[in-house]
Amino acid sequence: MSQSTSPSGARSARALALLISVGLGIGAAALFLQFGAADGYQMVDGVRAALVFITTFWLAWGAMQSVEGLISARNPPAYLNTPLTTRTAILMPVYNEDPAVVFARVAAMDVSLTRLGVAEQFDFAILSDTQNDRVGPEEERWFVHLWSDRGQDARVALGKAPRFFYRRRARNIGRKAGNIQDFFETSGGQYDFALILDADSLMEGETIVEMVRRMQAAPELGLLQTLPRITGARSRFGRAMQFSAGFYSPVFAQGQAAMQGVTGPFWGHNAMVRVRAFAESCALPELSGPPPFGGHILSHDYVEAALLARAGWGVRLDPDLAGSFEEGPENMIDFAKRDRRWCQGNLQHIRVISAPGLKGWSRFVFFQGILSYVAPLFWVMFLASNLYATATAPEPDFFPEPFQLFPVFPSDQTSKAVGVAVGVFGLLVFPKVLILLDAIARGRVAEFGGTVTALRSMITELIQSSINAPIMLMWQTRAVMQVVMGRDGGWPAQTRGDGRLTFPEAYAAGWWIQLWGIVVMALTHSFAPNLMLWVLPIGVPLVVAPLVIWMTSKPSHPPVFLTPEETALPQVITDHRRIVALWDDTSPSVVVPNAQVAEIPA
Amino acid sequence: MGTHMMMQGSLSDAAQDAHARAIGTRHAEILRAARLPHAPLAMPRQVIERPLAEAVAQTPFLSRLIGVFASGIGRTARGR
Repeated sequence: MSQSTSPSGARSARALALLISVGLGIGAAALFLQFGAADGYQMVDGVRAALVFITTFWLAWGAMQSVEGLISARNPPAYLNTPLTTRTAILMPVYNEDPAVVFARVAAMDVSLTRLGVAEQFDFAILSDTQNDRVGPEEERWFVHLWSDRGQDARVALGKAPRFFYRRRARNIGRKAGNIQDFFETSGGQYDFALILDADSLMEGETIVEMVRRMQAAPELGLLQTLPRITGARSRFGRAMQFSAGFYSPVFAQGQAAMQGVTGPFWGHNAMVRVRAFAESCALPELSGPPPFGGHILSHDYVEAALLARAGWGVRLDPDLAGSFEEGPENMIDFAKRDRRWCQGNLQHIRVISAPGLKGWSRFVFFQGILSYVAPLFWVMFLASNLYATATAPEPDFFPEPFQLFPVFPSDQTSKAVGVAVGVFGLLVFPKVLILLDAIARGRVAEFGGTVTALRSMITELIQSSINAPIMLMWQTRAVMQVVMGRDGGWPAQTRGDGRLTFPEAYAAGWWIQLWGIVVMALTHSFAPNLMLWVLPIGVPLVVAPLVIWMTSKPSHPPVFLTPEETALPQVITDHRRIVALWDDTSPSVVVPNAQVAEIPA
Repeated sequence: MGTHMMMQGSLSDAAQDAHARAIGTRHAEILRAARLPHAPLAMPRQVIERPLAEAVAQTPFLSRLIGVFASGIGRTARGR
């Protein structure tokens, strides 16, 4: 995969995607209008056609990203070999996390950098926003353990500055964005670059070094984003997502990179920023008014990317950078919780979309984020309007003229509605099939267990995501409604672990979805029975929602959903697991003055 | 015997207290040494809020786009 395209290349890519998406949207709406208005045009037919346009455009826009990704894919450039002449801070923000597991990630990344002989160019800062009084002291104890583990005493004894720092804020003002800003305002002057991570991030030393080299080689570059791969998933839901992220996301990300050029994204972690650029451009104010639309900016990363671009800095996504990892939610409930936060964050961007001086593309990215959460509402409205239109459709009039000899049968336009449905389904499946064919042609499929296993994973993922989609749609709709009605979702800590749910837990989370499913099916049966077949793919998953939530949290095993990281564990993950196991045997409370804890060999 | 056991117990408690104090002191030393380096950098607060009407007026393309969209709706409505 190549690096980002030139500005003119990006403009062409955007124009192509927009043209095709709008064209497909108009085509689908026109076809649907012929079907809907076959019994005479009514206002509701116009509404339905408009909804078909919006939803088809949105699906086509997503599909075009994969097409652009396949068109623009090139062989990745060779990694650079220039000397490191800069200093980089690796920032690990934490918020009520398990300190042993998180700090072991820091140790594993340091092991990786030490192995390359470049550790002196990098410092690690653990930026704690932990508000839990039980976790706070645990963090301090485990930091002392990390300090000893990484031989900082010996370093200080030699008169060198330490390379590991720990700071805990009493109040988490501004949340993660405020946490990072506090670091820049305290210590930013000491560094050229900062690698911003999440508590579940892991990156290979080689990747970090390559990012520094690319930043050194491009002085106009303000931010370099990697595409993190999801690892460590164990459940059916988690492993399906892990497979999707590994198999499809690189192509979608390449398409995104091609369209965005140097007005790229920031996803909040696994990205490197130029400290000066970030400090000059990214201090976020609080938005006026109360949450959810006012207050601290929740999805700060998108705003920071837009502000960097506004100040003239390049923001680039390089999907070819391997060795960047994160963890994902293991069940649908955790996914929905995270999505609730993202939903509020994206809808809050309504307040920022008109910020002065933003690039047009940055405004479009905000619009895209907003639409991605509003789109489910359009689907719900489409479903409701179809039920309404069918229930209120006039009876066919076979003899519209007086004294008419032969009946006039209404024109049957059902084939056009079927055509639209097949087209919409095609837009969902087409990108995945294209990516599979491309993976077979390029040999990438071997990393996913070969053609047969990858095909099996693709079909299983397709079935699973089709069943999950209506349930997700209900959660997203509820999230949007809650935000619109002014309910703040807060900032819950992320749940880690295997994510396995009991049936009562699944039922507690999904009973209201089941209720809606029963209502939808009953209404369809009563008022529009001829639509029952169309409603079943949505209604059935809703009715069995608790069962789906429970079943998808159960463990899953290869070969289905096999990913390259499961076949050959990346070195930094191997190191992390080894360190966690080693630390498990060494309680931090036994760290005594001047004790020498065995250092993890590089 | 009892006194001897009590003395042993107090000695053990005292040793444990001393050990805990030593650990506490050591932890405090490390946490002091691990404070973030002092190298402040100014971060000027950015302006990101502006009324939409003002943004539209100052962005000719956006203004035209909204105009075309609005008049398109009007024409369609009149056509119906």
